[in-house]
Formats: sequence, structure tokens, C-alpha cells
Amino acid sequence: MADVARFREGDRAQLFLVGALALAVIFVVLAVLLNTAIYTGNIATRDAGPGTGVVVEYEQAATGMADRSLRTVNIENNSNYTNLETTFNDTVSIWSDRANTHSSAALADAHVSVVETKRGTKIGQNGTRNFTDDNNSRQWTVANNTTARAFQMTVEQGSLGDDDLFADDPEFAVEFADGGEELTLYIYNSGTLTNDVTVVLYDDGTEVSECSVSAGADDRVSIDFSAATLAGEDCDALEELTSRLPPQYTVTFENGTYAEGNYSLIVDRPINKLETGADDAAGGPYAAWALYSAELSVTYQSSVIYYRTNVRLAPEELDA
Amino acid sequence: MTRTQSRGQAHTLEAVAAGMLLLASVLFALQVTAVTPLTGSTSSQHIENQQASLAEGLLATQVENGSIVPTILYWNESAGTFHGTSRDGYRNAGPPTAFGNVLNETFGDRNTAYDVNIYYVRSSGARERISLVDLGNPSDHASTASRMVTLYDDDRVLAANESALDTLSNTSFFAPDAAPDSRVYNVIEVEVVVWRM
Repeated sequence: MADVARFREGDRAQLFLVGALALAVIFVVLAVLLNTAIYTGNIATRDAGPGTGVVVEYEQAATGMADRSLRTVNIENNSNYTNLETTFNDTVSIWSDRANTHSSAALADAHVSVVETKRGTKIGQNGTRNFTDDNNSRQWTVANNTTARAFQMTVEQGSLGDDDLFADDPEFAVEFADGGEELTLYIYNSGTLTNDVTVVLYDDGTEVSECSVSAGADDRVSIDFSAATLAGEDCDALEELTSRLPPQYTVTFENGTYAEGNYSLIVDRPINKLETGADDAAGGPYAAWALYSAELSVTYQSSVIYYRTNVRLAPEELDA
Repeated sequence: MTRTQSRGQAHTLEAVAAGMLLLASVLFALQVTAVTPLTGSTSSQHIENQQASLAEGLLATQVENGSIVPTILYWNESAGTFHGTSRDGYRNAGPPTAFGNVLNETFGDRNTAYDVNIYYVRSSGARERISLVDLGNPSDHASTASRMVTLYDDDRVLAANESALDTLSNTSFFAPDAAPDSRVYNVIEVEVVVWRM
């Protein structure tokens, strides 16, 4: 009886070990499979993609440079259109050459060139004066059938009309009209108590919105039509204005005797085809040669990327 | 007799099986501790990718908020170096400017070493390098990111207290006027090299 029991014990030990062996083999196979998956994941994440980021960076650098050149070209050298265009084209082409030295080091060929520039006119008044035209007319056309960019204005609060609209003491207004629709922006002194300057927008005679700000210590308020800000603060009336502007409009100043200060804007109509009350006479508002917008062609080519696009630039355009 | 032989066989099998079991366990242990994408190491591909993205993001934000150009213009004209440093650039930390602070906060606090190189162009078309920050030689697993910025003729070199001095065209700056006939002064490439210490 005892012998039989010993024989059975030995038999059981063998089965147990064979079972353990099988389990161990299964575990190893599982571990190998698991690691294959992990290794595949590791290899798959090794490639950081085709590297399109460099193209975006190049385009940003190129348009940033062209944007700044377009803003500054109108300050310098504005004696005629050919000079302006040559200066701008040269700047872009020299930048493209120099920047290509860096791109070449990254085994890429990158270029930017000017496709076309649009001739425009810069209208403005530098010294402090009322907002009448050169013949002291209080209602005058600033620019006809055009679009405007970089439109800024600084007014002195004390020179503005008071707040009873349409009364005897009228308010200065900037009007944007396309024959049908009429957007009028009244700028007035909203009262000696509040000491505020208010801007209110009327669309075809209906009030849309308004905003006010108190004048700074120097009694002046800046109005930025492009950024839609009044003394640096966001202004609903100006935002509404830019969103409601038609594709082309005529800019008119009304009651120019009820505002004093300075202003400047660039319009997309060449100086010889523009109807404006501003001429080059000393002291009054002037009109000068300027570039309104530019279209650039940006190309970037490397072993894995070919990218080409056209970019239009019109810094601080009103309805942009 | 038969029973003794049978037990001997069982013992042999037992020994072989135990040996294989041991071997399998060792293999198993080795396999499950393989380098995974998440294993912490100075040479992990994930860390390289992450550092490259970090450097790219840093450059992108600093170009956007305009802190890189003032750092490039932080030039000591009389010494011919950046302010308060030697010819090799800043060797202990970033420059004492807004861009330098961001570099220190982003990389310095994370045990990451970095170099900042500035490449500029000569009017002949040659590309040259000057070191802005030099914290040592990058390891084999370094990541790089670069950005182009443009200097203009009317940009002004900065004094040690960051007040504006003369315009670039009237100073002896490290980079020459690569475009004398235009308002562009030079096109600079700023390269950040980062690696794990």
C-alpha cells in the first residue's frame, strides 16, 4: 500500500513540472509579443513628420518683413510711385536673397517675390488744425470710391461739438457712403460733467452703437479706425463700422470746424485718379504718393516639401 | 527495481524542467524591462522630440512678442561682445534680457543645457556664426530649433541698461549691413540647441 502511494507521488511531480514549463513558455511568448508592440510604437514616433513647421516660419518671417516695409516705405522716399515700387521691390528681393542663405544651410530653397503692388494715396494732416479741407470748407470729400487702411485720428476734446445731435452746434462726423448705404460716425464732447469724448455710429440715420472715453491729461483722444479702438480701448461703434463697411466707399468729413487735431489714412486710389479736398498746400491736409497693398509669392522647396502661395498684404486695412 | 528507475527518470525531467523554467524566467525578466518609449533616459527619442518642440515653441513665442531682436541688439560696441560677457557669449546662463529669462526659466530649471547660436549673412552671401549662449558642447542627442528675424537699418543697438543708442548703420555691430541699398540691415537666424545634462 505504501509502495503504491510513493509511485503516485513521483508521477504527480512530473505532471506539475511539465505544466509549469508550459506556463513559462506562454509567458515568454506573451512578453515577446508585448515588446514587439512597444518597439513598433517607439519606431513609429521617431519620425517627427515632414517638418512643415519651417515653411510656416518662413512665410511668417517673409510676410512680417514685407508688412513692415510696406508700412515704412510710405514714410520715406514718397516722391513718386516708381520710387516707392523700386524701394519696396528691392527690399523684398534683397531679403529673399539673404534669407535664402539660411534656408540653403537647411537644404531648402526659399524665395519671396513681389507679384504686384497697388498704388494708393496717403491723405493726412500733421500739425494740429481743424478738420476742414485746404479751402477751409467744413464739408469735404476726403477720398472717393475707395477703401482705406491705416486710418488714425487724434482729436482735441475742447474743439469738439457738444452732444445735442442735429442741433445748431453740430458735431464733427466721418461719413462712409457707397451711394446707397450711409455710415456716419459722430465724434463729440459728451458733456462738461463727464469730461468724455463719445463716438456714435449711425447707419442710414439709425443709431447703431456708441462708446465713450475720457480725454487724457493732454485733452486729446486718439481714434484708431483700423484697430477699432478709442484711446487704446476697444470700441463697439468702431467695430460695427468696420464690419458694416461696403467693399468701396467715399470718405467725407462733415462739420470739420468742430474738431481739431491730426489724422492720416491711406486709400487704394492713385493720386491722379482721386477726388479729394486735400492737396499739397502747406499747413492744410496733404495727399501724397503711397503704396496701398502688395501681393507676394512665397515659395519653399526641400527634399520633402514643395510649398507655394500668394499672400496679399494691406496693413491695417479697415474691413479686414 | 522498476519503481526506482521510474523515479530516477522523473527526477531527471524535474531537473531539466526546473532549468528551463529558470532560463525562461530570466528571459522573461529581461524582455519585460526593455527600453520603452517612456523609459527615462538621456537618449530617448521622445525626450528629443519633446525638447525640439519646446525649443521651437519658445522661439515662436519670443519672435511673436519681439524679445529676440532686443537680445541680438544687446551689443557692447566698444568691447566687441554682448554686454557683460566674453567673446564666446554667455557661459553660465542666458543673457540678462527678457529672452534670456525665458530661456533660463524654460530650460535652466529642467536640467536641460542649451546653446544659442546666431547666424548672420555677409553681403558676399557667406553665412557666419556668433555664439550668444554657450553652456558646453551639445551631446549626440541634442535637438535644435531655429527662426529667422530681420534687422533693419534703423534698429538701434542697446546699452547695458537696455536704453537705445545709435542705429545699426552707425555702429560697429557683429553683423555687417548685408543689404546696403535697402532698409534691411541683415537677416539673422537664431538657433537654439538643447540637450539633457
